[in-house]
This record gives sequence, structure tokens and C-alpha cells, in this order.
Amino acid sequence: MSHPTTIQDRTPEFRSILAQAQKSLARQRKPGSAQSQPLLPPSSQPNGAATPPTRKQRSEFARNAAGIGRGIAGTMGKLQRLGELAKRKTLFDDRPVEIAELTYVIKQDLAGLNQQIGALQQLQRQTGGSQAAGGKSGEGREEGEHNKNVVVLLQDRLAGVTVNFKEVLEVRTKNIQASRSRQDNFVSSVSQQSQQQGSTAARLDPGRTDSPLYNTTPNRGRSPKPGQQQSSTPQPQQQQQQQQDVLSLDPNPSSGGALYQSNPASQHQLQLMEEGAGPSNTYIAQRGEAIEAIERTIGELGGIFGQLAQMVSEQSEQIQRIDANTDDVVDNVEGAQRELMKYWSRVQGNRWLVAKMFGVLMVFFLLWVLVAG
Amino acid sequence: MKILYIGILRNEEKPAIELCAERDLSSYSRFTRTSVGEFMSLFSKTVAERTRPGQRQDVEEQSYTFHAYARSEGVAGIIISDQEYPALVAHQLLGKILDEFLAKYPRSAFSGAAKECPFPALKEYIVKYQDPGQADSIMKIQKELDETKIVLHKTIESVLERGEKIDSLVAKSDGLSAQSKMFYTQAKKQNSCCSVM
Repeated sequence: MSHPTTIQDRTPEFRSILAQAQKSLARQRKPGSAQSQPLLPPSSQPNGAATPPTRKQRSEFARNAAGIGRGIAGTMGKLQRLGELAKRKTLFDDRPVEIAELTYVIKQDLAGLNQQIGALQQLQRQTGGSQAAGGKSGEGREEGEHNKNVVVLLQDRLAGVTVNFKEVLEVRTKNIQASRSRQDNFVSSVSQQSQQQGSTAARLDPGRTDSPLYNTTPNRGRSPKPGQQQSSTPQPQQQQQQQQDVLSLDPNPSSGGALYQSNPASQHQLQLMEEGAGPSNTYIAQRGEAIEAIERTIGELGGIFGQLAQMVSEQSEQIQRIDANTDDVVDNVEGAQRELMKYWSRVQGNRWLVAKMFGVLMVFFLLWVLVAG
Repeated sequence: MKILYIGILRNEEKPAIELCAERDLSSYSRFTRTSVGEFMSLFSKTVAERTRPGQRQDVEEQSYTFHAYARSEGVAGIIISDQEYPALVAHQLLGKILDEFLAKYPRSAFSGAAKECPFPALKEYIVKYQDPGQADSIMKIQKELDETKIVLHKTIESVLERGEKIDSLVAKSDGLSAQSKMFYTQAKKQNSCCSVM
């Protein structure tokens, strides 16, 4: 195709070609032939009802494809705007609401475009199927291939837009991290503790800890949250990483009470920013805790498996000793049996000799007694 | 622990309007059901009005907890549950429901007049999430991991028993081999001494 951005509607050209083909077919057509089917056939043809709808469907296909192309172009424009917003690294002019709305709108658009492309693909398959049954060999095949190419092209471009979207979201979270860390250079972590005491939300759940350690992490989790809470997995993992980083870097939080009175101005500032986000921080913190608990459990399981493997390998060495012992036993017993067999055979063989010797001796003894007596 | 009510309300203007709701009032007697249902709607409207967009809230009242989550589009989801129900699961459910609702009805559908937007998926959700341990994936994973840990502990105990049995086997085979050696030497001695009859 020659146009990468728009879908060309070539229906009028196709119609003219069909008219020519119809004329040539009408000239060649034998009566009663089921092979060649005219384009606008009489009702005797079995697929007669199918072909007029295919013409409508083809132009409908082109219309749908054009609509999808326009949608993709619009979404790319919005994505560009979102990218610009995300790249801004200012400390205070961040516009989370706009970014969140843009993100949401782009996501909806992508979902809608996906659906439309799916419908278009089905439509294309239907038209391809009915064309194959209708037997419009030459032009029908090309049209079908054109449609297939169109669908593939649209899918590719949608995939490209989705990938760009994900990249922009990642850039945004990185910038948020950087800006929060810069902010924390100016403001101490204690002010969040005071804000926590001042928050008026209803009694939070017992699972939530009040330590400032967990308060600093929601600070960073807040801005990515509004637009990206429902988004894919990179987000919670990144938030977890942020939490881990803070937990390792955070200096002595328990001395907060002494520092509390020292910087009321910055506390106010942070309070104003954090006010609306208290309970949502709880939610994120809770999720983080739950996931950390799962991680810990899995680690313990790993340790248990290791112990199991160690014990089994120790026992295998003992089993080898048992094996060696039993082999020795077998050898010894076999040797003993051989000796006994030898002895037995000797005794067996000796019996007659012994009996004869005894008999001769007894005879000599009797003779000696007779001679002596 | 159970969910009593799931509702989606429009909280852009002062009297919040209930767009769709599902109740599970099987734990109340037949006579009090209607009044309890009305109270639930009333309270959820109040809570929704007080929840700002982009905010999650948990309100406790007598023995019930209201989990609220307001989106920036002007709709809020409310779940009324008892106090045992984990808030994390409730908020996850709220996020999921609101996503589906907003995907189904674009902003124009409910920002006009106060129309009812039927959302049958709520019924399935309220039934499915009555047992959070089954429905929520994090809790399911945690439960399975705990079971696996128990199984592993039992395995280690049986391996220890096996170790003891193997020890006794080693001792016995040692004794057996010593005795068979003696047997062999005795037999050999029998053979060498010639003058025994």
C-alpha cells in the first residue's frame, strides 16, 4: 500500500472493474453453469443473497478501517501531549490531574480501538469466506488480501502506540521519584508525622502502622496513584521499590518529637499537599505490607526447602554406610558357607576311611587281646 | 465477615444519586430488611458526598464500616461491610468495579439526568466477595503459602524420623557385619584343625 497514514477507499475503481467483468462473463456464460457466478446474479444462484451484502460490507470495511486509522492518529497526538507533560521535571508545576485524565482517556481509546480492530478482523474473515464461496477468483482474492494487509497494519500501529504509552508511563514514574527525592532534601521526614496527627480521616484500620517510615513512602506513592492505580504491573513494583529505597535511606525517625517544632512552615506546605491523600496512602501502604508479607513467606519457604535438602543429603551418606555394611555381611556369610561346604565334603569323604580305619584297629585290638589272653 | 452493600453513586452534586446498588440483607429479619436497605442507601449517599474525587475513605459507624472510593469522573463506589472485612480487599474491589462501570457507561451516560444504570456484574461480585479469602488474589496466595509452609514442616518432621530410623539401621548393620565376620573366622578355623572327628 502506498499510504502509510490513511486508508484509501478504492471502491469506485473496483466497481468499474466488476462491471467490465460482468459484461465479459455475460458473453461467455453457458446456460445452467454453476461455476461462473455473475456479480449481481439472479436469485437462482445459491450465494446470490451473499454477494450484494459483500459489496456493502467491503465499503463498510473501508469505512471502518478509515475510522480506526483516524482514531489511532488522534490517540498518538494525545500520547505526544502526555509525553511532553511527563518529561517536565519541575518541582511544583506538576499537573497530576491532567496527566491522570490524559492517561485514562488514552487507555479508553486503546481499548476501544482494539475492539474495533477485532470487529474489523471478523468482518474481513466473513467477507473472505463469502468470497471464497462465491467464486470471484481474481479480484476477490486481491480484495481479501488487501483487507488482510489493512488489518495487520492497523494492529501493528496500535501495538506501537501501546508500547509508546507504556514507555511514557515509565518515564513519568521515574520523574516523580526524582522530584520527590529532591523535595525531601528540603523537607524533613518529621513533618509527615505531624501531618499524620492532624489528619481528620476516620479511624484507619488497625493493620496500618503509624511509624514515620511508612508515612514517607506514601508521599512518593501518591502522585503515581491517581492515574495508574489500575494500570499494569510495573507500577506496584516500582512503588515497592520506592518504599524499599526509603526504608534503607531514612535517617533516625524516632527522634521526630524534638524536631517537630523546628520547621512549621514546611510542615504547612506538606500538609496542604498531603491532606487529600491520607487514606489512599494507607491503601497503598497496606498493599505494600501485604505483598511484603507474601515475599517474606516465600523466603521462609525457600529456607525450609534448603534445610530439607541438607538433611536429606546427610542421610544419604548414612545410607551408603548401611549399604557397605550389608555388602560386607553378604561377603562374610558366603565365605563362611564355602568353608563349611569344604568341611562337609571332607567329612563326607572321610567317613568311609574313618570307618575302615576304626574297623582295622578294632580287629588289631581284638587280636592283641586274644594273643595276650 | 461479609459485605452488606455495594453501590455506585454519582457524587458530583450535593444530593448524591445512586446509580446502581446491590444488597445482601439475608442476615436481617424480614421485617427490618426494607428499612435497613433504605438506611444503607442514605448513609452511602452521605459518605459519597463527603468523599472528594481521587480519595479513598473508610468510615466506621456502630458495627459497620463504609469503604468509599471516589473517582475524578464524578462517581464514587461504596461498600458497606462489617468490621472484620479487610479494607484492602474492599478497596481493590471498589477499584475494579468502578473501572468496569466506567468502561461500560461513558461519562455522558450518567452525567445527564439521574438515570438508573443497571450493572448486573455487581450481583456476582457481592456473592463472590463474601469470602475475601477466596476471591482476593493476594489473600489466596497468602493462604496457599501458609498451607505449603505447614506441609513443609510436616515433611521436615518425617524426614527427621527417617533420619532416626536410618541411624538404627546403621547400628544394626554394623552389628550384623561384625557377627558375620566372626562366623566366617570360626568356619575357617573348623577347616584348619584336622584331627577332630
